[in-house]
Amino acid sequence: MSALVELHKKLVDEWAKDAKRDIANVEKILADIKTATIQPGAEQGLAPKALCTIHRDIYEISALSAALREDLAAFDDAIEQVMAYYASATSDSDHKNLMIGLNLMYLVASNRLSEFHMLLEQVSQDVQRANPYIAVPVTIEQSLMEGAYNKVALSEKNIPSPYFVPFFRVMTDAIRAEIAACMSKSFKKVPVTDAVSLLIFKSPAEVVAYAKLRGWTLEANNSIIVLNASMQVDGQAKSALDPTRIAKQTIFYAKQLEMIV
Amino acid sequence: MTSSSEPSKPKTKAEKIKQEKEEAERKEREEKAKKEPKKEPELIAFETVRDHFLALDKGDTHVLGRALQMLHKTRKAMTPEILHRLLMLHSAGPVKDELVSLLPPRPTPTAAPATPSKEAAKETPMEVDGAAATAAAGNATPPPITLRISRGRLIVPDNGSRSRSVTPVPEPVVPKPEPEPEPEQQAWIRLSSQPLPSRKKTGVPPPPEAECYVHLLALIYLVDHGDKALAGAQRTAESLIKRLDEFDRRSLDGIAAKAFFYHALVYERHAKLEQLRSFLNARLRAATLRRHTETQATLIYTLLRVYLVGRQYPSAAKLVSKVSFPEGASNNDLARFLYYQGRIKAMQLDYPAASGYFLQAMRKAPQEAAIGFKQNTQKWVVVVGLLQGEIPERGIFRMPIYRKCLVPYLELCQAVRLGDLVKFNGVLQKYGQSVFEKDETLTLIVRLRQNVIKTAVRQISLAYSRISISDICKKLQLASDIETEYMVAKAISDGSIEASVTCGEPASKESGLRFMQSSETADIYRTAEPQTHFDSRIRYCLELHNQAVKALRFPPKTAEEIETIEQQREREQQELEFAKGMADEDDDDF
Repeated sequence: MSALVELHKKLVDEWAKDAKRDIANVEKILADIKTATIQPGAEQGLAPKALCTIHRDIYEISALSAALREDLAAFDDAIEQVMAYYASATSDSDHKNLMIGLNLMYLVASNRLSEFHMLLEQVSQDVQRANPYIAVPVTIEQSLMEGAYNKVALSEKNIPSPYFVPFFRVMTDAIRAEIAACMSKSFKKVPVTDAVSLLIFKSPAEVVAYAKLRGWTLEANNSIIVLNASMQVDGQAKSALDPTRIAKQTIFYAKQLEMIV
Repeated sequence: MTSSSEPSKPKTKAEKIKQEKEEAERKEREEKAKKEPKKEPELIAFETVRDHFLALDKGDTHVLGRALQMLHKTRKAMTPEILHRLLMLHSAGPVKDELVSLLPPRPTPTAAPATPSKEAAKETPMEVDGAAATAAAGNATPPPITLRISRGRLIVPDNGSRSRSVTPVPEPVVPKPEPEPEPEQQAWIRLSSQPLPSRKKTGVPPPPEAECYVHLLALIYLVDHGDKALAGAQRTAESLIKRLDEFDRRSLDGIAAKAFFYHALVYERHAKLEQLRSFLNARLRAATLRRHTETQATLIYTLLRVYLVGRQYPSAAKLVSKVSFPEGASNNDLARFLYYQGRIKAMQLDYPAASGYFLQAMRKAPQEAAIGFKQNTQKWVVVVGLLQGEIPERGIFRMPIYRKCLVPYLELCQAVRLGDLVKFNGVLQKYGQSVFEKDETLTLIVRLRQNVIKTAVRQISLAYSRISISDICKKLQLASDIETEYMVAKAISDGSIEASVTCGEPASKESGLRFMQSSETADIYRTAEPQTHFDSRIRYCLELHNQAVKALRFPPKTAEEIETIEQQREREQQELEFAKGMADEDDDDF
């Protein structure tokens, strides 16, 4: 029995404690395992199938624990490994949909939409609709694209798995930034009371602080935020002639025509 | 042959091929109906291929390119009869035996043995044929006809839109010259009995091009003829690739490209395309290093297809970003490559790039043939166009080749154009599973919902100068005011409408309500916008012109120009004498 197998057993045991598990301890075991796998001969004498299970558990648990620690950079690394494992593994893992769901969630939260869609394309349509782990990020992405930001906030209430929580936290910030960007383009002024609901804050004080952060000015004893005073003034900007551009274009045409003639 | 138009494109999708085949066959029939066949088509095909062989055996390898360009015509004319004859002339060794065993037995009438024994075939093939001809001169011709019809049955209707030409049309044309088959049979005999000059005279082994070409023809025949032959097709493809590796000649590049293509096609029909991934990758590496451009081009798009079928979009995207498509590739290969690139870009939400690729693919596709490819691409063009907020022209949906297959997309366009969410959902319900999922456009169409909303908001903003958010909400049948407000705000920040959201005066009864207020649209002709558009159009036209110049080809040589070895000798002799004379004259001068 090699050291790897023992460590793996320890890891699974620690992880199985669920709510009571000690993340720091898990991290420690993971680090031990990583050093163990590098050792030459560590994987000798193990059946390929057992080895597969060990690796799968290592990858999955490291991704999940990264999610729990809210360490997004680590999660990014870990989930890449999990996906690579799934791509090469012969047998499907029980947690495959959860992992894909988490990855989707991560990609939405960090606004990497093209990767999101490429990943989603690998999941069949039925699973997309039926599996809660995957359906949640999919609906979130749709409402985000439509601009129905309130729906995102609503779906936070039926989280399919505790591992999704950190991503929702990241997402709320991202959405708020998005809403603020939209507002600064579309609103001239907005009362603070309305801004509270629009920006998904709980109290006016938070809004005021946020407004300062974004450089919005307040007027009339802090009850109205002026988002974009200069709006629509610069609508009729004079179109300036750009002689270098026109000259370049004309010379290009001339060259081409010469070639034709 | 008749024309040097673009070769038809065998699509990688089985259904596409079928569809396309139907189209082409129909056309061919019509053509034939017009000008009564002077010769039996079988014979013509045999002659053509034989001419190619003559040239190939003399070392004119460039003929191969032309032969491959005509492959779509040749493949339709192939029958077991022709293939067997060709194999006897041009194949040797174990490969030949294997092919002969895989091909269906030649449909020779009773007098002749069903499968000619090897000895008979090698030594006196003509006698066998002659006997067959005299014994059953009357019914020697039927094979092509029965074959056509059986091929017609192969075409399975896959959905309503395509079932138009599916029913096996009873062959109205190709009337057999019943009463006097004699001259034709003689032609067969003459053709087959003419020895290939190069074979007899020289001791050196003949160039492998002709052999590989026959091999390829056999492979295509097997691929074309249904599931039973498919297992044989796989073996044939593998052995062909093995043979090509043994010869390893640059001139075989074109054949190798086709071989890989059909190899992958066979694997796809067996639904085990995944297994080819590393094989194709290794081959691509080799082809790139050796600059086998045709193979390289084929391998690139085949590999892309492997990835897309396996839904490996990230890998496909990486491949596209790393690989450079060979410049000298044929338009058909380029069209496929562009199409796959478009698919990837569409998946990555890069719609402008995707629509650019699809449009280019449409333009590069052959004018007459490749209906299936164009239909499929047109669907993507429509969807991607819609996603960019462009409503396609109505005329597209009226074109005969698109009319039926684009019906669901037409309804979709109507929903998007009107900004009618209810209708949009209806279309999605109606066709979502049956059509869109099959076309693999469903994911994109789901994303269209936001466009429908945007269009609706835009129409409202055009119609009203000021409207309350809750009214918009009612009009669009959305869930809540706040959702509507977010959507309006997003539409404004995306630049799809020119408006702003204003709040009601606190004192008045409008307090607490919010409104969408449209702003004046600026005059676009005062900006530099028209200039840039004009510029891009000029550039496009110039580019088109340059490409057209590059695509010019010389017309094919006529059959008479192919000279026999004797003629060649004679000509060389003449040239030598002429050169001598020149040299003498030179001497005289000094």
